[in-house]
Amino acid sequence: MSPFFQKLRSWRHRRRKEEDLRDELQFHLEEEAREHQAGGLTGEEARLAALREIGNLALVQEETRAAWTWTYLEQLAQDCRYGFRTIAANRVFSILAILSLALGIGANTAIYSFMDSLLLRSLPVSDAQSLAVVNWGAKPHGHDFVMRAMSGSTWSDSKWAEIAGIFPFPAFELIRTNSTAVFSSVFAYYPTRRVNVMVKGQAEQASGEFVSGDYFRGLEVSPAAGRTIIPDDDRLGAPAIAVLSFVFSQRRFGDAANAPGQSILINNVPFTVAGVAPPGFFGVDPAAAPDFYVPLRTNLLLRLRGEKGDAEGYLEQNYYWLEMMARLRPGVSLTQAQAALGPAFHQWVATTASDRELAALPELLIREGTTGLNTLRRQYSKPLYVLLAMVGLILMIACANIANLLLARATARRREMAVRLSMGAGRFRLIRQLLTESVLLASIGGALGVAFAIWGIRFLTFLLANGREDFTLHPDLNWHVLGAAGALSLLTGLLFGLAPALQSTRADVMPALKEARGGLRRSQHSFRRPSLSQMLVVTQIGISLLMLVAAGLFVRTLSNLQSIQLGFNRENVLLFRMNARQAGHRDPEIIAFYSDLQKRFFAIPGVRAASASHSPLLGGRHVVGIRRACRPAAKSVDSYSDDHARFL
Amino acid sequence: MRNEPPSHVELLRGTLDLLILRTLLAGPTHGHAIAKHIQRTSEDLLQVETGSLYPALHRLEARGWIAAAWELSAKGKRARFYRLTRQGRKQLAAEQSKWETFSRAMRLIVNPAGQEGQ
Repeated sequence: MSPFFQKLRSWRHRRRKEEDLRDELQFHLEEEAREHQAGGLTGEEARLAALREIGNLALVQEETRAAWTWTYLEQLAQDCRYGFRTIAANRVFSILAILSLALGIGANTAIYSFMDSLLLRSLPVSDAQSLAVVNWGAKPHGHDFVMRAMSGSTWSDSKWAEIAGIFPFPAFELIRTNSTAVFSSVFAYYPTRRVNVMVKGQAEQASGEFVSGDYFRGLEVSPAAGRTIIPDDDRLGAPAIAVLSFVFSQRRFGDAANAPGQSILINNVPFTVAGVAPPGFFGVDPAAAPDFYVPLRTNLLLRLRGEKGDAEGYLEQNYYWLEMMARLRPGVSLTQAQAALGPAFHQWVATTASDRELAALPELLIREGTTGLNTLRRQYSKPLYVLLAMVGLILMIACANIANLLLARATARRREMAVRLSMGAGRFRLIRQLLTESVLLASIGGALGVAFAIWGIRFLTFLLANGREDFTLHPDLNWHVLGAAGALSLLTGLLFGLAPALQSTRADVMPALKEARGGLRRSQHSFRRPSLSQMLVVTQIGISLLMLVAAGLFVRTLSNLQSIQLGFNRENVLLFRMNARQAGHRDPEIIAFYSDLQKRFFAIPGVRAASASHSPLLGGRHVVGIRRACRPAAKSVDSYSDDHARFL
Repeated sequence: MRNEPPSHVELLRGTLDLLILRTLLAGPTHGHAIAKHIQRTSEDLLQVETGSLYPALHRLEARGWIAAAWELSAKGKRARFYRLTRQGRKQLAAEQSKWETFSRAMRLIVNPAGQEGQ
């Protein structure tokens, strides 16, 4: 702090210092002259001798000034002032440049903020660097594979034909008991999918996570209220407790502090709320934000008739369903952990395989868990990279465009530059000044670009979410993104400013000075070899054409998606879903419940048709549709209730 | 001819600061006097250019090693007098020992057996 204020102070005393320096050098001259006089020279001769000795007085002054720390700052301020004047003087050019830069930088910032939230941001837990995800990978295999049943998903990459993060429960036990040397904790979880949650008599569909006892301890997450799940909760016969997400507790209980101790019904099974997870905690998968967390073994309580039995799941060695993460002990690397656990897993999995399944056994993979699970990344990283490439190209076009305009202006300013060069301005100093100008332009563009990015992020969220209500990718403009936008502005400023700056300060002073005032006659050599500006134009047209084609295809796809023929009239249709079975209704009565519901919807004024369906019009599970206003009936697609067709 | 000592030598880079600080150890004085003192004390072997003296003085001042004030010279004229600050004294000690080590090293290499009466 103090050197800064020192600078400020010396800035204020600048004029006085300037006078001081003049007086000081004057005194030096007089002393020198006095000495020469004492040596026998006349007054005038002595003065001249002293002047000769000191050399270029202005240079001495200049070099002394350079020792004052603020000279650099002062020059920067000068450059900025001059830059602002130039920007204000060329209004049309400046507005064009700033707007195109704002669009380019804004688009890049918007996409980057998505990349940031998707690819770069760590899980909101302490020391996320030491988290590891446990996966397995398998080489190509036929029908005979040791994973005979599964709940979850698998994917593939360049190395493995099949990768997944799901394991049988015995594998979790195996890894937990064998990994004490490399992991400080291992925890498992799997999604509840949609269940019926009843809070204070009001039901809603929510999704949660079954978690093993070490989940919160392993993630080192401390509760916002109450307590988290501890290992003792995760055993058969333990009282059923639940930890709510912060958002859910606020929505249903008004405040996180009110939730602990309350009772809720999950699929009609009573649970006591033990605590609330901290705000911003979304579990381990950025793609899914669970509303609640319950101990793993409560899945036995929640098991629904007709659904695949989970009780056997705990013993079943070929049913893969449980996902795992672990926290590495300090100093242990992922490869070390994998080397320590791989053989044990291999041995175990071999005992679970039939002879034919032994051909391609899954191998244990310990992967980085800093950013959580990869679901979203797998889903969106490719489109985002494509978008980033596209907006990068847009920015390049903008840069080329502005560089070209600057080049044109540079030709017009050649005389100005020549005059300044001939008067002793350093070329470096001139380049610096021109670069300050372009960086200034870029910064204004960048500032506008951030405003544009805010809008762009909203639009992109809408585009990517594609109507999904549980879309969890919500990027924001954090300092990370703003920093990137700033750096981008700086970079573009240098990028489009450098070539024109070099060109216009090229030290060819004499011809430029001789040119008539007010610009130059078209020089004779302008078409002899491709100039920089011609190359820029060619590049620009090339990229623009590419972008035009890409944008055309993109818009075409979008409009296709918008105007797709669904085979029914989409207007005035309301959809909602519910699950009576999860809410506790039992079989014979359930039909009566649905038909009664339907009747009651009919009773609402303005409802033209109401219908229930097992599979809704466009994906999802249970649905009741209501139709308001009149519409002639069309042919049915498929329906459960008679009304379904009428209503379409 | 090879052994004839030159009438004056170029200042080594970075040594001017040390010379100025050492000169000021004797007491506050102005730029001109500093230059003359260095010239005289080195038996005219070292010539301090005005073009490097004043930038050096102002640099040292900016670093807080010397401080300046307007005072009256011996002839009764207003002159800018420089004096060593406490920080400057520390710096002087540091530079002096650095220089001594350096010159000792140079001597050891250039004049290994202490020939020529050194």
